[in-house]
Amino acid sequence: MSKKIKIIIGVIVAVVVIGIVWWMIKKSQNASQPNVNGTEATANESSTENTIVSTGTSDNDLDQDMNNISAQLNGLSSDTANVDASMASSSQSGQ
Amino acid sequence: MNYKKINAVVVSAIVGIALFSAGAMPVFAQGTTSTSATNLRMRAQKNAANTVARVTQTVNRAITEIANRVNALTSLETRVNAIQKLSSSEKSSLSSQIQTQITTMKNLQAQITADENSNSTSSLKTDMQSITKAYRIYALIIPQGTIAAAGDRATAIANAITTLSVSLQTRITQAQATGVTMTSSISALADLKAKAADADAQAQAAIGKVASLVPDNGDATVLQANNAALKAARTDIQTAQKDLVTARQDAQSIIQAVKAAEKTKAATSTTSNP
Repeated sequence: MSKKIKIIIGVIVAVVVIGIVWWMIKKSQNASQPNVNGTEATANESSTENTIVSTGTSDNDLDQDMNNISAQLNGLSSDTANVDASMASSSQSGQ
Repeated sequence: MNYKKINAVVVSAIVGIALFSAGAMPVFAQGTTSTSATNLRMRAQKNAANTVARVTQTVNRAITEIANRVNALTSLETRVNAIQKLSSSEKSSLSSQIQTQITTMKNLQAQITADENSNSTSSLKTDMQSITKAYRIYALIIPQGTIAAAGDRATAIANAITTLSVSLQTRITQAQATGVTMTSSISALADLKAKAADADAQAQAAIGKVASLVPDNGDATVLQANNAALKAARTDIQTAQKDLVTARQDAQSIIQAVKAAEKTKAATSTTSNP
């Protein structure tokens, strides 16, 4: 193998290695980048509504959907109890 | 005994008593004066101690009240930040009011503690009055936030039930295709959709009624308007909750019917294909 070919192969290997390293660094930076615009929170919030029920039609899907809805209704009962309590304390204070 | 002797005894007795009294009175007088002074001193000390105890008790109660309110506001802020159906400006406004109130409460707590440490009773009195003023805002923000949170959840459930109605419709259609009569399920599904839509409307209305309320700052007209809006919003939330409970019952009855239809279909196919 001539010296020229060895140099070309060496350059190609170096470029490939540098490319891989650059790609890995870029990937890790994207993963650790903080959420500045609050998009993550928005996604989580909107996914909450979507995960209450699935779009499946099997018996298991429907049963799971009903369990989720029941759990959310229990949460709503708790919320309305909080509303009543907060309004009771408001009327006591004269507000 | 003759009269002269008796008179002498009586006179001696009177003189003796008089002499004894004359000697003893100053002692008694001195003793009475001393006791009165001691009593006054003790009473003053007791009053001072009572005042200190009363102030300490008042300060402790105020600090406990403030801590409770800060905790309630912090929980509410977490809940408000998770609300989906408020506009970003409404959510930001409510969150900002909560933060301001938390800061006010914490500053007030620091001032009251400083007043107690410096025995500044006049400043303490002013700060205690500030608690009442601050409480007027607190008393609006808390129901405002809890109603918004309840309305948000009710809307999410209503939307979920509407999504579920599509799956239920599919299963009803499948059951009908096998020849099973699903009249009551169709009726239940219509009711489910209507209740979910009404619950959504009621919840949105409740959120709309409280979203733009402002503290009354002692204005009786604003106070009345706020109270009326909060009560109307609570009624909306209660209606939404009842709608959703009914919609869940509708869904449950439909699911039971489609499962029964499935079993009937399976039994029929077993019989026809022994």
